[in-house]
Parts: sequence; structure tokens; C-alpha cells
Amino acid sequence: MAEASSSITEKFFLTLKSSDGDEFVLEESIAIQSITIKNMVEDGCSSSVIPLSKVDTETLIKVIEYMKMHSSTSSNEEEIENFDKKFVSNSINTILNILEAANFLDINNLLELCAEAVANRIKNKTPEAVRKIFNITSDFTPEEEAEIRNETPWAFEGNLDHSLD
Amino acid sequence: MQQQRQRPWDNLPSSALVNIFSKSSLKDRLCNLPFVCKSWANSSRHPHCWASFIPDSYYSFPPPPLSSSVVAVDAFVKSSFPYDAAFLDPFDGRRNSDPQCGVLVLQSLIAKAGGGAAVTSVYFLPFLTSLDGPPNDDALLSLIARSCPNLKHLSFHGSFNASEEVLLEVVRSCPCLELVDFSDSPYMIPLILEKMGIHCPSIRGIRQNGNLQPFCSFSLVKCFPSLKLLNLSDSSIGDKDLLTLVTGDSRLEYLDIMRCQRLIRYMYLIKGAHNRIAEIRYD
Repeated sequence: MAEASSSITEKFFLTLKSSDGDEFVLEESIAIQSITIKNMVEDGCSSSVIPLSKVDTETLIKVIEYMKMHSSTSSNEEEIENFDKKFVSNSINTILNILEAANFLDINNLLELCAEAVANRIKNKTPEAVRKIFNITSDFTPEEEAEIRNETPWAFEGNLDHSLD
Repeated sequence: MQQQRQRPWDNLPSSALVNIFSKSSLKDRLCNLPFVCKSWANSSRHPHCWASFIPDSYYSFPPPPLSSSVVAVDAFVKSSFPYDAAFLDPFDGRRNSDPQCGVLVLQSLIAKAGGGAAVTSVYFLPFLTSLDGPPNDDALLSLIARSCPNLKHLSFHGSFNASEEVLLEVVRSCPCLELVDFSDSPYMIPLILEKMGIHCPSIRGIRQNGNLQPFCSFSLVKCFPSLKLLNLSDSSIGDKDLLTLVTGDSRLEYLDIMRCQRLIRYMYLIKGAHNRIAEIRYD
């Protein structure tokens, strides 16, 4: 996608390096939507390549796409809305990867977008179904499950009432 | 395309989980998410998960508003049957026969949020009101008035036993109110609206389905000069009220008058209002 950026002088550019070793050159004004990167720039740590050891290439490409679309100069509201809609239709695994990256890079809008998308995907699902989506194994004993129930017993009590229907 | 890695997602950072949970329905937060695994249970205890008790119908049809949280919050008053249920019952229709229970539930939820000052939205009041025993609407609303000074979104939907005194206490104690749902409650009367207009200058959205007092539109326009969203679908609004709402000092940007049986010459009125009000929903 991008090679070295040594000769560009008009704008400031940063080089981001994914965990797979791929390098991406990005305008600084776009990249500092990430508070993590912004802090590095302000601390003077960005003169060479910024290694993002927690973000793989596939994810970083998506994150950069998002930051480019959401940078103040380029796009209008409708474009952004359509882009976001398409963005969250990615697979749950892709979204979780991006969510993790957004959390690490501290890109608030992206984090909110992914969190909402995930909340939407696991809406009204049993714990068992959620575990399947996330590929998680339960580490509870029955006693521990009962303990959580006891924190809000009223959420599990009461009789069916149809008078409000 | 390379194959999706099926890595286990058991170590998502707690801050990310908290963010996801805060956007989930109350029912999911209580009955599903904490039982996934221990780290989820731990994250679900974070106060940030509990600051907003919003309707989970935000995330159903119409397609979820994804990029703008303001749009999502507005659904609180915009949602209109049949496209979107006004709210879903977090308790799946289960009711406790003890009239004290509703108050205990609200106290417990406020405690989970780390205190009422953090609570911004309460919509599920009708699910806490007492059905068989003595009415507890006053106790619930009084608890809200005492504990939640920063409340922005409040639904009275379906509550009908509150006293005027307690309603005024809520109005005085919650000056940050922005969106209020009066649906199927008898509380949208000139006195309450007038006090609300004085104490709650940020009101920008009101919803009322059901019986309207005649000429309520005068109070609405007079008391809430910055009112932008008004949902009167399935209400008894008539032509004269509609005329008041779409002319004069009205700053409305969104008006829903779906299924209002008493409207007769509304097409004519709407035609004239379209250049003032950006979105009008009618049938």
C-alpha cells in the first residue's frame, strides 16, 4: 500500500507499522485521531516508524480507512454515515479486532461504533449463544453463577403478568 | 480471502467490554452478559454500564443509527408503533406482587450506577409500578427526584397514579431533562408543562400518545420555545392544535402525527408546514 516517505515535505507524515511488519504512511493530521498516536507525536516519539505491535495488517488497513473517511477535511456527513453502516457489516471477528485496536489506539468514535455494533450482534442472546460467537468457554462453577444471580435477585423473580400487554 | 481466525475473545480489555455493555439492553445487562464468563461478570459490575437505562428498542427497526449517539437518544421520543416498540419490558412480563419491589429495584439499579448523579436515562418506570398493591408511582418518582439530579431522559409511560406534588418535585429536581415521554399517562397538563418550562430549560423532545387535553398545543409552544421533537402519534390531537404547532413561534424540526383519528384537514396544514418543519410523519 505504501512505501517509504522520506521525500515528502509539504505535510507531515507518519509511518505506522503493523504487527505483521507492513508499513503504512499516513498524514499526521489524520493519524492523530488516535489519542495514543497524538501523544506519541507530542512527546516527539514519532520521528521514525511507529510500531503498533498489537494491530495486524488487515485490521490496520480498516482502521486507516476509517480515519481517512472521518478526517475533518475529506468527507460529508452522508458519506460518513453510509461508510459507517457498511463498516459495521464486517464479520464479528473483524469488528472485534478493530474494537481492540480502537481501544489500544484510543480512537473514541471508532470504539463507540464498534461497541454499538457488537452490542447489536449479541442482543437478546443467551449466555451460551454469546459464548459461541466469542468462542469463549464458561469458567463458572454453578455456585458462582448463583452468586451473580443473587446480586440482582429481582431480575429473576416474579410472576408472569399480562395486564400490561 | 484468508480464513477467519477463530481466536477466543476471552481477554477483551475491560474498558471495551464496559463500553459494549453500556449499549446493551437492560435485560441483557442483567440476565445474559454477566453469565458469559468471569471477566464479563466483573466488567458488568462497572458503574459505567449502568448510567443509562435506555430502551433497547434503539437497536431494532428502523435500522440502528450507528454513527450518531444523538440520533440514537432521540429515538427515545421518536419511536412509534408499529415500526418500533416504545420500550421493551426488561423483565419479560414477570411482575413481583410486592409493591415495595419496584422501589427496591430502582434503588438497586441506582446503586449499580454508583449513585444517582450518574444516571441519565430512566424509561422503564411502568415496569416498576405496582399492579395489585397500593400504587408506588409516587415512591418511585420521589426516589428519582431525590437521587438523580442529572437525569436527561425520563419516561412516565403508562404511569397514572402519581400525585401532582411529586411530579412537580421531579420537575424541580431534574433541571437537565431533555426528553420526556408522557405517553398513556395523565400528566401532560398545563400546570406541569408550565413548571417544566421554567425549571427544565433544555427540554427538546416530548412524546405523548393517547388522550390530549384540548388546546395543549398552546402550552407546548408557550412553555418550550426550543422544543424540536414532538411525537403525538396515536393521540387525540385535533386540527386546531395542529395549526398552533405548525405556525407561530414553533421551532419544531420533527413532528409525528401518525394515526391521529381526530385530524381532518391535516393534509392542508401539513402542506403549509413542510417548509418550516424538516420531518413530518403522517398517514
